[in-house]
Amino acid sequence: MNEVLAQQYSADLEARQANLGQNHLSQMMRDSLTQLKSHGLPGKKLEHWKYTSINSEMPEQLAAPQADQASPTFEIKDAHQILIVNGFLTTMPEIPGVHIRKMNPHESHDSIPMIQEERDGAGWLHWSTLQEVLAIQIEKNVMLENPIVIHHLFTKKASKCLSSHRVVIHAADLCDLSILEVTTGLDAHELSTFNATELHLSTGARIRHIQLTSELKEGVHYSALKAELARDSYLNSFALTAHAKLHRRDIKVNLNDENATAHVNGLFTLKDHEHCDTDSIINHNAAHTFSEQLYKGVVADHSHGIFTGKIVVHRDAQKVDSQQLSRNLILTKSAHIDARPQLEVYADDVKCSHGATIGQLSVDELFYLESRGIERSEAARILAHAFVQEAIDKVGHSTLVPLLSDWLSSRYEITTTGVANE
Amino acid sequence: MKLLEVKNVHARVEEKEILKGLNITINTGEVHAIMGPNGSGKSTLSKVIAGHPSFQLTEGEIQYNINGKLKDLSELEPYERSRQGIFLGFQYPVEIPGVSNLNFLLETYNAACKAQGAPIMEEEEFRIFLKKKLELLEMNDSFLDRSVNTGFSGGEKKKNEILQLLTLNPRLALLDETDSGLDIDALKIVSKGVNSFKSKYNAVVLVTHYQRLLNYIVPDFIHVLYQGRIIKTGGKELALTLEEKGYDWVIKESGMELHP
Repeated sequence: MNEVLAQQYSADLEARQANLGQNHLSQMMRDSLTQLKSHGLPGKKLEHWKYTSINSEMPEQLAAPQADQASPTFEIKDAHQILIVNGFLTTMPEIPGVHIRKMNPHESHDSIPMIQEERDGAGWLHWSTLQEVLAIQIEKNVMLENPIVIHHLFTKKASKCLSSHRVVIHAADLCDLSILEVTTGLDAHELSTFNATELHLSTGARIRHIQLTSELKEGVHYSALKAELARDSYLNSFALTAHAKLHRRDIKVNLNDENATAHVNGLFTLKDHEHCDTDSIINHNAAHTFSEQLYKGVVADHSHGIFTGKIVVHRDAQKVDSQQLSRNLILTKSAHIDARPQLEVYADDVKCSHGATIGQLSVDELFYLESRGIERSEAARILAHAFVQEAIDKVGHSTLVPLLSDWLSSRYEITTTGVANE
Repeated sequence: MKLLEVKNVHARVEEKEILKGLNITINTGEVHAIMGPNGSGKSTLSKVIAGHPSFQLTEGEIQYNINGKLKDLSELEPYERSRQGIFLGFQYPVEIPGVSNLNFLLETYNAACKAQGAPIMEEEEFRIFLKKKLELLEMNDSFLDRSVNTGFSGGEKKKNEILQLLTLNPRLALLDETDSGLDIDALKIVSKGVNSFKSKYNAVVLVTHYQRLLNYIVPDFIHVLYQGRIIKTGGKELALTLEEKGYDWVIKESGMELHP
């Protein structure tokens, strides 16, 4: 066990698990603590944590936050709104054909299938400290016009705490809907969050999942996405991080049967000393499965963005088509990008492409706009926005795309002063 | 009226000197064609006038008529040159995904209007203003709602450059190889656009490899550029001779060395 964890957190973790009830979830949590003790917290010795060290940003104690009330700062018209404040469900809507309930480790209740598979201590820490699970079950053939929006909000009562929450979504055959998860720090200080989302897509299900993360000024923020795709199902996933001090996002998508398709896109826009590390694995476990991935990063000041994207095409997964691209824009010289596209192919009849680009705004592109009467700093702003927009467009939804653009521009101003002066 | 005067201009990109004492005078109402073999400095000349930051003026001066007075262009940033009526049509127009053509045109148009003290336009009015120009260039209205140059064919990009030319209505149009890569139909349309722009109040400089363009846009002067200098100037008939005989005879006549 990692020394820091052993000394500092052992008592906290025992305390958090002291009053657990006797149910499936609490048993999973106890097992996870054993796992956590053997793994320790992840560090740079692990290849997939090479660029991120969380020790310095971890809270002194792993105190659990208190329940509270709060309102979101970002509203989507006509959305089905779920509020989770400090890791506890406070508000949920009634939607025909959609069953929403919470499960906690203190009360007895039935269980739903969950994926308890972790590579390292970050995932086990999430399980060990879990406050609640939000289970959403969508019936067969349900099509929702309006999105479900899950707000994860944090108030002062979560300051100096570690909050841990899991969303588990089971989408039955042929259902079709959009789900947004919006994580907002509000006025919590020195907060850390260890959250995860599971998506289970049955035959022919179509899910659009959008994860927005912002206003997490301090602490460690870990979020995981795990998706299991059955035959003919389609996942469009998009993660957008703007303004988070230290964000680690783990993505694992399993394409388990023919004609399953996943678009796993993302964007991070960083400034100051922010750090965002995305580690993505897409497994093609069956023949005729398809994936596309565009991950974009914009870094300014002293920020550091990392994208590691692995595509694995397993043996017998013939006729797979997979495309992956990581594109990054460095706005100031002191900002940093690490991009690692990785491809592991064990089948012989597949079409796979991957690549990464890292660059500044091109002089020729800037000059094109300047020669049309646009000032250099404004030209840089327009080009950086265009760069970002291409990623947002991948969401492919006529009302959500402009909404996400607005969400981003009200939270992150692309500062191009460094470019303008060079 | 004298619009532009390029006097003994030397310019370099990084350490390489490309223009080596170039002189040219352009008056309003004139069409000039700049021709010459590859690498002679044709594109550099138009970029230097428009103010591309990769090119440094090391000697000489470029003067441009602003409000009746010749002014040193080196004092103006590229965007200011544009707002004062200098337009550069690009050989390779840049794609700007996420910015609609309409917004781009409107923004540039209004920026120029503000700079010149003219009234700005709102979107609806601007669409009507563009309608005739689109028709002239045989461009569909849907072009306005597409992202600037994104996914455009070569011909569409060049037509879009001419649409910008007609919208901004500059006093000096520098068209850098606008004809290259165009099929004959697109060439005719682009030429029609340029001819409709031409007036006694403005001037056009065509940088081109091919005499073919000059069948459609008839120049008053043809300049042969070689090794960073203009080595011959003639009338429109010079293009035909160049087409027939190539550049070697001009270079010999000028006393310069061939293929140094």
